[in-house]
Amino acid sequence: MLFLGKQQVAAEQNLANYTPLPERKVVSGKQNGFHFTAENCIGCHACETACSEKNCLPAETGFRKVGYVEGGQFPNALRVYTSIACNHCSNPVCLQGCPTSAYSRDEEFGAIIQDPNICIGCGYCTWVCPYGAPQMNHEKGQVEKCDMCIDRLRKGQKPACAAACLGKALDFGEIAEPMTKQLPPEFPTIELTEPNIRFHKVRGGKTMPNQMVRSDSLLNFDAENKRPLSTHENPLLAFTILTQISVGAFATLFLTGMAEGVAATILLAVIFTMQSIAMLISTLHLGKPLKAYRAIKGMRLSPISHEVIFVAGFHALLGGYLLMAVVPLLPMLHLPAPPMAELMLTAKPIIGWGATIIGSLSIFAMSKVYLLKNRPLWNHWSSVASFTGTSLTAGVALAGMAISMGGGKQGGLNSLLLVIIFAIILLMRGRESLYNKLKSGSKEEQISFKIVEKFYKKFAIMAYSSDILLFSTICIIASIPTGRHSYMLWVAAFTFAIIGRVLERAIFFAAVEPTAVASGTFWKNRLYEQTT
Amino acid sequence: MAVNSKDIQQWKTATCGYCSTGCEIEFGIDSAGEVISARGKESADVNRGKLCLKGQLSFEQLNATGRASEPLLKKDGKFAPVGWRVAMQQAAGRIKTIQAKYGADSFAVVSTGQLFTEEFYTLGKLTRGIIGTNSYDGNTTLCMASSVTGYKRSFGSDGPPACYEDLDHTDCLIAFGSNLPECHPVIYWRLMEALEKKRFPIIVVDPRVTPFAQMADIHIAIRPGTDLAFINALCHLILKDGLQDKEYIEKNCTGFAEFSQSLKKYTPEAASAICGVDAKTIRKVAKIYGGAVSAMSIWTMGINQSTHGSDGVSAINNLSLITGNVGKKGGGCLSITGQCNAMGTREFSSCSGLPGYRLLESKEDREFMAKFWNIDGSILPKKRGMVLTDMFKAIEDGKIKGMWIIATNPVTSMPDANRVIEALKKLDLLIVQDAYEDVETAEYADIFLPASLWAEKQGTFTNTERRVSLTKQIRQPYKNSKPDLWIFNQMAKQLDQTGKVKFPEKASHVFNEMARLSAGRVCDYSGMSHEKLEAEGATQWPSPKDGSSQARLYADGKFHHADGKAKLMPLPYSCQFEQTDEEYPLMLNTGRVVDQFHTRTRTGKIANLNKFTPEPFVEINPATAEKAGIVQMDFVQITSRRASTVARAIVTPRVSPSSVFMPMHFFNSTNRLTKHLVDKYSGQPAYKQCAVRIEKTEKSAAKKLAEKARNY
Repeated sequence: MLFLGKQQVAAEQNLANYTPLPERKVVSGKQNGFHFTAENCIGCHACETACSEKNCLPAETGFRKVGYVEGGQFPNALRVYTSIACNHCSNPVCLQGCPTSAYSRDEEFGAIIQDPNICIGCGYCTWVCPYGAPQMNHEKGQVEKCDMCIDRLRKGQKPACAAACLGKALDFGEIAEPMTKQLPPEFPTIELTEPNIRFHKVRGGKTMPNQMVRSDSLLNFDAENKRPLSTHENPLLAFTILTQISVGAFATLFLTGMAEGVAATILLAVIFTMQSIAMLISTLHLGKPLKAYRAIKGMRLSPISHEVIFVAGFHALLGGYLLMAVVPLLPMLHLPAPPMAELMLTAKPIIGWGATIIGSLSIFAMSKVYLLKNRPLWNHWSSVASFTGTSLTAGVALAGMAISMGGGKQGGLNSLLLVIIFAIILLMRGRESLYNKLKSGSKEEQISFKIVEKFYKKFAIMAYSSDILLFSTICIIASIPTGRHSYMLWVAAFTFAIIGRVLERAIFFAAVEPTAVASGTFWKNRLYEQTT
Repeated sequence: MAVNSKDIQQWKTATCGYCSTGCEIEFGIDSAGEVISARGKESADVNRGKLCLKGQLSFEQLNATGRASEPLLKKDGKFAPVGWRVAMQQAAGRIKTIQAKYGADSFAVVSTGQLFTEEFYTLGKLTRGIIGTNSYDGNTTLCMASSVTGYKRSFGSDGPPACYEDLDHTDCLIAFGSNLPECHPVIYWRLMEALEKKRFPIIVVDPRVTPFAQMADIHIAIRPGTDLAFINALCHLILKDGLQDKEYIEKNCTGFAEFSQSLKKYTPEAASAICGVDAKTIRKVAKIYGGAVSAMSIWTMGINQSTHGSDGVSAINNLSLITGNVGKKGGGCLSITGQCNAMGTREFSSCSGLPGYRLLESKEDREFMAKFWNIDGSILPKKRGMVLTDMFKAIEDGKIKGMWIIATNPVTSMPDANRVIEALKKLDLLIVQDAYEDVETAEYADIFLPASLWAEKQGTFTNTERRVSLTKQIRQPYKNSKPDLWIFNQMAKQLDQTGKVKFPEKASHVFNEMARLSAGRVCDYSGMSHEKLEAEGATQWPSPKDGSSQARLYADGKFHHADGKAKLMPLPYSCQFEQTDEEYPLMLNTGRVVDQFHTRTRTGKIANLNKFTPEPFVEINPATAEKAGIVQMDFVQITSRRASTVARAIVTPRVSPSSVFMPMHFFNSTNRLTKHLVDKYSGQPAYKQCAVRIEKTEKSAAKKLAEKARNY
């Protein structure tokens, strides 16, 4: 024992033993990172504020987050603070996910650097990071994040946050040791990204209470509060659904051989317009729409780049196909046929096949964007089922509507009915499986489940009812003889399919709960935001 | 690649204007002359390069919304800008009218702990020597008055004996009602630095599980308001176990026999029944504290803000005295002050006495000051007049008709705030002088005087450990605001056109006058000057002519009572504060959060601070919350015997099932509930103990209130 009084009473007082940590050294050419000692953190926000001051951050963003979990019973209560920024991971999912290659790894200190000037503000890195490190700056339309204060490192200084720490909790330096087994409570998974942060202990004696509660846990919110179904991801809702309908409708027309004739061409034009709108919406959704072209730079790794390439490819092929569909109609309009009309007509089926295949692939590329381990609501096969199912219900029904309006062949329509029924079963099975998983899953999954139960149950029932109505309508179409008004039933089928899919997708965006490090009492506290 | 860095052309130093830790800040100034950055000064002994979050962003208060730009005069219920000449003429004329009609004391001056010492001194000279009112006090009565009286009762004079450096030498630290990590983060960092070098036990006495309580080796989760019984039991055990410093007591203290007699009944078991702390733990603490070679005591509002605050301070002094810790390196007792220059007002403001710890009650001191100031000695009252907490009652009674409130916000900070608002409405004249025109008290003003912020002028602060530091002007005053010193000087000119009393214009000249006055006094400034402070850095008083400075007081065992000794006093515990009952079953405790300062006039407008606590909250124990059907983030109505308010529920085991905690910073919030019950020696209100009940509340009204706080 270090303190020795007159009577040497210390030894028998069993005071908490405390072993100070050596100061960490920054080593150039090695992986550096943050070292955090939760026991010493007093939640004083000095680190967070030093970061805001250094980086001139607006109050809405913040590269670092001080939060806490607490447990125990008074007076043996324990509030464990954490202060987490970017962990400069060895497996940086942000870098891999970025469609613009705005991310890079700095060789000198091992920082994961993001260049806001390259960023187009798609926000995908803010989705994939399990720690919520990248921050969307809505004012500037770009993402920004912790850069390890690399300018300070080069001057031999520690990052502003570590230099500001008043509790001896946050330090910075070489990451030489492996990750400790015992993480601070509520720290998100480390398997996904291999974060370069290390946690340390300085005190013996004090044990952690069994149950630690987050102040921002949505598990325990008051149902009185309203939560809108509409989110700021509405543009993505529109984009995904419209694209999926376009792909489904085109593939149906093409594969059933009904993409001919005036009515079909008009429908093609409708699909093309729809798809153009979808792409416009998704572009305008970006922080910097004019720089959207950069979104293919990450084609080697980024699911967003893949999505963009496939969807843009489908769009181009769809446009080409429409053009070729128009060519044979030109003489009817007393217009001269364009040169190479013959060749174009030969190429038409190739382009049609191309659009169908690329379009289908785009559906999968699109679902891959959402299959994120840190967003468990999305990370389920039902997401793929939903995306495909949208094509196979609403998309197919749209084609069916047009075909029946144009008085097309009934054989084709019957096969469409089978496809739709198959899709409904797929959707329902997916939803059932998802709900079962959520109910008994991780904390985030349970929160998503609860959000649906408390706020969106009505919408979920409406979506389910729409599917039942769609199913019934399909059965009716199948059972009654084709009449002059059978297209009315197809209109109904399409409407039900659309309602079901839109509601389902809205819930998909509104109920997702990402993994996140714990927040403080108010700032970035999801429960507080929910009740404000 | 873009790196966020600021275009800083030069760095200028100023001492932080929030709390009294006394951190020195270097402000970064860009090519346009704007202050855009702040960093801790590496060579400053206090903070050694460190700053808390408020200090880091302190430059943002300079251009925060609500900064006052023009003197305003209220006509038909509406403020209109009038220019300084008219405002000062109006103010002076109306002060004279009121005093002529109702007597000198019918005009009250309410000061603060936020100005420079030079300004306090000047205001004191103006108030005592020219205005001649004895209704003169500051908001320091709300924070440190109990410590001042406690020191005076024990040692014969005010003045915190210990210093931060003692943390490096102590063998035991006991903290009473102090949440150091949140309220004084940089002092906490100094403690951590000390702990890294040498391990010593930390004992924290606090009814709430604060961050400090968590890191302590022993947390005494004491029942609110029972600290006297606990401290008496410690003294009882120390004497019983023979851990006292007999030689020290003999040589330096009086009243030991009576004192030790009074401790007889404070057995650990008896104290345990009062404090709710088990006797074994009390024994353990007594052993550790009494057994340590040097043991240090610190305290803050947990002691001061109670009905027996002054007794509490004296009791801590007793504890330090009997163990011979006063004046000892690594020992001593240190009140950790809240406002940047509360110490300055104690030394030179003439609020509770006369400059340099002189007494109104002393004929010699009065005559000396009258001569020094060139005033008629009969104008000085023979004893101290009303304290701040008496003044609002005096307005109700019609004894005070006019008031000048300087850099404080009583409608938010006074207990039973509704009553304060009603009182202010009764005044014939209210002058409010502040750097922010949206300070809530300004609503009731007739004349508003826009003051400059600390970094827009020059002067000195004294920190908790008696360290005087110089702040030089780092930028021009905001718009048409003026330094408080200028305002006081102008007021003096308006009120006394004879020019008999000299009011130096430059702060450095005022300082020299104070230094002359303080020669040979407890707070001896005579070895200091602005030039010297600038060249040599912040200096602790006493600093006599030879330029030396003293880290701690009473190292020589010489105290300021007539006999030169310290007094040991019997301080029996009695329960005088508001009690809970069936209707109001919970004890409300109040305090600060790390990210806000006082009534938020500054921090509330700095978005990167305000985001951490944007609206009032109430901490409720999970068991209590469950019984009331309250969950996290619910709006809760808190009702005391006086009024009710609404706050967010934060459900946490940090508070006991029988108490709730609320931050003190918000307007129309906590202080609607608190009771105007004061310490009989200091007049300081017992903010920390009042009975309330809680219930879940209907949302819409509550939401509106919360929104108002957020959008402040």
